Amino acid sequence: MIHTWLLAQNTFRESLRDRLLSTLMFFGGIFVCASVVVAPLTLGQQDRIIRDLGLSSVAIFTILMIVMVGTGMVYREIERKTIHTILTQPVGRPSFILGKFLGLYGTVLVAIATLSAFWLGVVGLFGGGLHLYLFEAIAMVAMEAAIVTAVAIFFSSIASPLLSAVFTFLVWISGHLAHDLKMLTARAENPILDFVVEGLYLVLPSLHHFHVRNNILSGANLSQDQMLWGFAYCCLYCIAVLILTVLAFARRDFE
Amino acid sequence: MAAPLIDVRGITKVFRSDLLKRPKEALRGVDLTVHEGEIFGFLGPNGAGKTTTIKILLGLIRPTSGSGTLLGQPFGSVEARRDLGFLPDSPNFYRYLTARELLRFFGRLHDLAATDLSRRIDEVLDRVGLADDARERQLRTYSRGMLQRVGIAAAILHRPRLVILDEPMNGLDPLGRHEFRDLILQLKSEGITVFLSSHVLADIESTADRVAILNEGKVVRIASLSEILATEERSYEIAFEVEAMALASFAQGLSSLKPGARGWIANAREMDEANRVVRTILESGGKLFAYHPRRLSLEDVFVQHVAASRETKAPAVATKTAPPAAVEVHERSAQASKRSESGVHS
Repeated sequence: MIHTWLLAQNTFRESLRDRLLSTLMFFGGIFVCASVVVAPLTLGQQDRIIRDLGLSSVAIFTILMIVMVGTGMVYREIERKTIHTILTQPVGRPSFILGKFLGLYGTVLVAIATLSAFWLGVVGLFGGGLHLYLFEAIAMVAMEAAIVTAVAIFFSSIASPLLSAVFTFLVWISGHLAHDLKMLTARAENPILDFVVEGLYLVLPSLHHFHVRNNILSGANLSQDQMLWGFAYCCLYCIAVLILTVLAFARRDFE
Repeated sequence: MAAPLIDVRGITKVFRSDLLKRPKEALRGVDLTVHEGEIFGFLGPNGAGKTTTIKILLGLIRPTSGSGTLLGQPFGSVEARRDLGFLPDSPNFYRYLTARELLRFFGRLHDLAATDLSRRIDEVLDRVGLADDARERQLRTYSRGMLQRVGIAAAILHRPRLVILDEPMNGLDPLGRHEFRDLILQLKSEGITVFLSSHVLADIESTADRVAILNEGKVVRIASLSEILATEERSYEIAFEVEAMALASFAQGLSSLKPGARGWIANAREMDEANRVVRTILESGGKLFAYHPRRLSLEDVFVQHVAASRETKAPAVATKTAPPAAVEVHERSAQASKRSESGVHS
């Protein structure tokens, strides 16, 4: 376990020193603050717009960071052959994958915390003050980010950065649309379509659970069940994806 | 006798990278053993399969068939890697780490105590000659030679029982190569076994106790260096000058005939053949400048083995594409006759 932790620390340090991450954080901060400029354009809805646009900026820039930094993470190690110097240390391949995931997720959490601090500052000053549901929304963004990070690490260990970026992004989009798609096809009464969509629904992450925009707009707290269910689902999905990644990675030759 | 540190039995590896490409047979039944305390030279031309063999030992790739052990454990065992140091052929490390940070990271992966680690890091960096001012710089600013030095430091940081070095002299300047040869000998004196893979024969000849020559995925010779050099046939070198017309008459049977600083230099594998050439030179009124037996260097042995295994593999192709040595000698002597007749002399 100590080796996994060391690998995670190293990944975290490497990712934080990556200039791409600081660039994305900079633009994410600008977008969060821009909600203050856009809000006056809507009559009587300024507070809601500041809350909504700000949270959306935090969520979208978090996903962008995962896609741009995370999807090449394992692949780059193979391509640059740094993996040869790591996997010849007393480190198992599962520890390597888990270390990469934890290190990247640690970086993502720092990014979420930084952007959220901006957002909470803006909401506190211009968006009607701080409330519990704002922190709950941040927790949901962090859980969604964990799932997307696991998916990014999976694709990164089997495909090139470009392909894994495309696949991760598609999984993220489909994860948000899967629930709506299931509801639509239920009305079509087509058993084959039902079967296919049901299969996709099971495989794709149900990210709509983590989308709490309505709560933010209405100013309602999330239920304890919703939080707990989200946390349990996030943990189980991440574990399943990481097991798949470890299995795929265990059979790879590093030429 | 103690169990070998490396024991490889009948390893084969076939790469099937692309559906449309033919599978590439990288290793064709490699057998070798490396014993504790020796420096083992692993020789082979580019593409012979040296790095593939090493990667199989380390568990980075899986063999198609065959088996073996590294430090008494199956290939790829995490346990074996605790006593192993490895320098890859082109070491690449995390670009944003400094040399100290990297070695601290590796040291902690080997469970080295934090209190000893700083002292040990300075010790190995001193040993590989990495300048003080470079130690706190990020590795992305390093030259290839500096990365090689950091790689060597990382390989010996945890005082391993076995060090596997894949082309360790790459990127080192002549002084660095000399220092590194000394370091390999020091490691041996400390009881560390060294597996040294290289295509630079001088490096192996000056350090190794035993040598394996790998060609086209197969070990074509494995023996102690002294045994290889002692048992391999010698050659006889003859320096002389004769009339151009006479040259062609005795060129057949020589392994090589080339222009020297003064006249010609011939090489014969057999003493009888050399004696015949000397007689012919004297009978034809030529001048004999030198006649001496020459011990073969590792390079000569290596070239002979590689050439022989290639000829064995594809004799038909060889006869079609490459002229036999005698024909080559005749051609050269014919060219020499022409040069001599036209007054050009080398």
